[in-house]
Amino acid sequence: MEAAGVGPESRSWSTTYVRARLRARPTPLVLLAIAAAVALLVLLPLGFLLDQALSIGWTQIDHLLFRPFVGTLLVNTVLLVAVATTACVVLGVAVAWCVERTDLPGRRTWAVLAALPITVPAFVTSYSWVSITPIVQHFGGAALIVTLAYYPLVYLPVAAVLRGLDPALEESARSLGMGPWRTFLRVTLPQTRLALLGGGLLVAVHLLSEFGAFAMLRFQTFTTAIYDEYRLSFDGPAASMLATVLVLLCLALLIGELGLRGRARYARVDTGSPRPAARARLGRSKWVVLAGLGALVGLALGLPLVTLVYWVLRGGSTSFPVVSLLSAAGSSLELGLGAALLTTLLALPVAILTTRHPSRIAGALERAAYLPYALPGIVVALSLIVVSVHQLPALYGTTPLLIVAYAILSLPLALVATRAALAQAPPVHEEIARSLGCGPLQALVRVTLPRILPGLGAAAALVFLATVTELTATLLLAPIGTQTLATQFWADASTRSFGAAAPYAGLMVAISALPTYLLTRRLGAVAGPRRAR
Amino acid sequence: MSAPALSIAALRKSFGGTPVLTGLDLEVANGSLTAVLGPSGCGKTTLLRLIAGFERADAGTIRVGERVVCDERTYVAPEQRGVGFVAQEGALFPHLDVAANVAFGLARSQRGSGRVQELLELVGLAGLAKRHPHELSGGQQQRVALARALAPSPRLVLLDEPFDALDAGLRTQVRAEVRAVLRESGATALLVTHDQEEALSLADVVAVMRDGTIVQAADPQTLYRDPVDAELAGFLGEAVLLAGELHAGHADTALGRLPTRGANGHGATRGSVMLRPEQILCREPLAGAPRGRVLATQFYGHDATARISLQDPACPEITARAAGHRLPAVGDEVSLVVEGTALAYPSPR
Amino acid sequence: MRIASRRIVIALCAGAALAALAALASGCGSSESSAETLTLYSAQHQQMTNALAKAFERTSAAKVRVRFGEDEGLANQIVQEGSASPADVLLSENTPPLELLAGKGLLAQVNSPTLAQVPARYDSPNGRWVGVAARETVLIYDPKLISKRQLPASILDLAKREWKGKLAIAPSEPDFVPIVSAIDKLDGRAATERWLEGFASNAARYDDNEGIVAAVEGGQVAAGVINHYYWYEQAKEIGAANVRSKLYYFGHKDPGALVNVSGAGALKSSGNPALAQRFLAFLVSKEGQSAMTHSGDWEYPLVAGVAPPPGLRPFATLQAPDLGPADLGNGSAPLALMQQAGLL
Repeated sequence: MEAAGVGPESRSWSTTYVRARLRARPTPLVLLAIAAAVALLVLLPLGFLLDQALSIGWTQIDHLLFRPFVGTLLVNTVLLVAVATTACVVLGVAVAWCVERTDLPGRRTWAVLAALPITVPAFVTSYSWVSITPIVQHFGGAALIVTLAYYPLVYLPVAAVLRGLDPALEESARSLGMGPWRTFLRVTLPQTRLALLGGGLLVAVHLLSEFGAFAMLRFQTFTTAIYDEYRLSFDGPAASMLATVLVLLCLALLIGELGLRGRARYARVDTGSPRPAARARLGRSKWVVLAGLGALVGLALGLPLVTLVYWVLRGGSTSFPVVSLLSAAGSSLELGLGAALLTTLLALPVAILTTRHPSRIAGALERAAYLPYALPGIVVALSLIVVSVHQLPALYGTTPLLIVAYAILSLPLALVATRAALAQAPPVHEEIARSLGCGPLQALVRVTLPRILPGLGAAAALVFLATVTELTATLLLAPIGTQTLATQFWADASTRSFGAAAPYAGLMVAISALPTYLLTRRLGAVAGPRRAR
Repeated sequence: MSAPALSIAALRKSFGGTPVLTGLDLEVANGSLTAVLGPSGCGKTTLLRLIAGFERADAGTIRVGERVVCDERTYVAPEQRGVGFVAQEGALFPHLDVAANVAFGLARSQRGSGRVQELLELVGLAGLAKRHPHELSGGQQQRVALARALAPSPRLVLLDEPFDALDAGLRTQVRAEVRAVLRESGATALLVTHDQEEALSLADVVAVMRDGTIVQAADPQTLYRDPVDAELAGFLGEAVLLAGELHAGHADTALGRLPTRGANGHGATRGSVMLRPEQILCREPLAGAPRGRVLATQFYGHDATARISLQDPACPEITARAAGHRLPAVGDEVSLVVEGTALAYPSPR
Repeated sequence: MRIASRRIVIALCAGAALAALAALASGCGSSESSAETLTLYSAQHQQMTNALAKAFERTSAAKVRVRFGEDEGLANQIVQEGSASPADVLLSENTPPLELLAGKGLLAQVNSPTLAQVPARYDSPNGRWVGVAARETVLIYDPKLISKRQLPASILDLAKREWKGKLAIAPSEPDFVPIVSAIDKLDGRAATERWLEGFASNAARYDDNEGIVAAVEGGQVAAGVINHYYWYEQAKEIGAANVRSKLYYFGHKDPGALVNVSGAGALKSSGNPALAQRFLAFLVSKEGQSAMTHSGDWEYPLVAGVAPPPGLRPFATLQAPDLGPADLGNGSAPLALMQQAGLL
């Protein structure tokens, strides 16, 4: 077997050239139209938001935005996003490296365990911490807890890149006299830059709209203040005004990520080596790493699960209403799968546009999808109510509308995974299919889709996870009488019936475990089988 | 006589302001194997992609057979052109086995008809129908890719540097096999390569590409013998260029008076002549013949080259080719004898 | 990997098929019922709402469909739904959402016999909604940290310096704003501002009543201002014998003894106004009120002659100030004062 057939020179030439060529390819108008329609759907809440916010008039805006409390919120929100995102990135990369690039004992198991905290809803994690010690309340605790809850969003994509990385890169670096640390910093880490930035962006934007955890931790951000505005003055327009600040913060994050990304693009890692990568030997420090991973999994996963068990055992309200548990689990599954399918389907054309026909417009359409992700669920839900009640009354209060809301709230998750999969599946296969008589759609179905199926599975799994724990939009938009695990958990937890609430939370974690397992296995297989030569 | 399988006129394409094709013309005769030869980055691959329809030309016309597939008004989608494509590294669909790869372009009704088996036999892989691409060697992958492209009986097959990813030993063999398959199937093929040896040994017609146009298209012997300019002569193989005074039918150079072909002007003009090293023979020193001293030799086995400095100080060193067993030693004094005619290139006025 | 991806596809397809079946099944289920259906939007606790709905179905032969939610979500939802709202009745946890809807002209007049069941103070001043249940403001305290003698005579005393660092409040709970309104009403603007200033410097800010109960129970803070309701819920969950904190009732018509009312209103847009009115009447009937007090919830009934849930004092002995929601206004003045004091 030979190493990659294309020399380093011609590769660098051909990547810039390929990019120029991709740019120059005519963008199919149908694809552009579909992607634009998806972006429009996703931006619907933003239109509603602006309409509401601008209706309150300048004096009100002035009064609402320029008070000391808003300053506190701004400082809180920005600081927390900065600190927690950085922590998630550091933790995610460290765990991914230990699991994928070292001779750590029990790597496969750790790989799954390290991803599982994503299945525990942040409000459950927060409550279990608060019930143990009050010191987690306020800034430090909030940053710690959301870091424990969301670092898998960085860990998963970075681990996937590390797994697929050509070992020749690290070997060349070592042969050029770099120590393991310098090799990691100067060769390995830069290779993960895009995955790392993508994951970091998801965490940061998600934190802008996080409510449950911060409410529990008594930490005030713009989103908690928006809910307060709804709760106390029932003033939708005023709350919308505050939410526009979130949109601006999200725009700043998007621009910041673009800047950090610089000229790097999603590289084609098509010609990976069939050779297994040599793993760094941990030696005696493996005990330190094992202890660290153990502590991490214990804090992020063990602690909330133990709390759930404690509630079940000690709670005065503990009961196992089998019918209600099953029907809530059924609704959650149905909604989660529906949302996973629809969202992945919506993400696909946008991802195809950005990877196969990159342009400013394509980039803008894709990034538009992040804006609703930064908005509190109540804003998105209310906007869908306005549109559907008046324009599509037949849809109002139906499962399909709720699934559309989930899609709007979780599109970036599906986009990230789908785009990564497409970027790693070379377009040459589609061209060959075309030359063999397939139309564009047929080429997509017969060649591209089978190739990126694992990536689509990852996208669907991420959306499923986000959907199963969603509360606000579910309460407002679910068909009347439909209860999900999240709404049932909330109904019991809000009356402090934690024993009654715990079985719902437990089921939520349980049905999320399978997709998470697939995620850890499949996000890495996105590149497909290695080609032997 | 039927129309050529492919004819291209005044084709232009640029990427982001950088011109890649600048008015290219090319014809490919039915049933022929034509090679487009050019250095890396000269736009060969772009040419293939325009013919296949993966990209749109800025201007110019492409006809496949009688049919215009691309001009100012027309753009026929790749799937409707009837043009097969073999990519650099084969690009077999990794999720399909060999048989399914070959059957990919066939209509549903044809997939079970024996056509797949027929093609696999044609490329000599009849036993590997159920293998997956990653279980094949590089050469086998290329042959499957060729069978896949030939399966729907396209009007024309395009091959994009198909042997580039193979190692040297395998390359010659796969090349011969591919050529045999193409001959046997009667397909018309257009191949691009940067390897002149490959182009000359494989193709019926070689079209040399430079700066976005075809500078010369001819059969390999003609091309090698009579390249249109000195640069092309050097690109196609080693060339010895000698300055001299050109007359009708001969030229006076450092190697004496040489009979010439081409560029028969009126009266004497300044210019240069081109000889291939194999035309220059090293002999024991002879009276009357130009002499030189051997500076270095390069041994290839079957033959060898010798770098020789002439006694005439105004003349550069020249390269002569000798059979391996008759190689002079470094430092030897030799006489140089020229066989055949030299190609004359008058200096541009 | 091919096999695994195929497995994903199969799993997805199977899931989708199951989902479709479930949707079909639920569709069949709902088309069966030909009885009248009442659509209730409820921000009240699930067990209490379910008990009321069941009892109503028994007495009326009508079906009740419930959308659960929170005050702010449901009220804003109805505002956005406007005349197209599928809701017949809104049962809220506090009165401001009902006032919001009444102000926008979305609530129908409640039949006067229904209104007459409840003391006028706890009804809408112009008859747009009816009070259903009440919760009482109390002080939760840790007897190990606060002696009986230290307990304040009035909620106003909690602004004094000796309470610094000992107090927990949840100013963003809808229960808190009416207390500020009450002080404003009974003691005047200047006293209110002083009191808020004192609170802002004395108290730790919690997000909700549940948080305060957990904090006092956990010994992290000495006392807190809450609704009585949450203490009873906590006691039920951890077992009465394990409860460390105690409740102190201000009484004496102190603003700290204020009562919060949960109410219900019928939507003007209701497709079945008669049924909606019947439901409102049921809520304040003896059956409705006792269904509520027996639901395991801890709210006071508002109708005379119905006993409160076991363990609660009779409503009449609470000595709440003579203030109803109508007297307390829409809350915008106290909100501005709270913002000025930096509590919001």
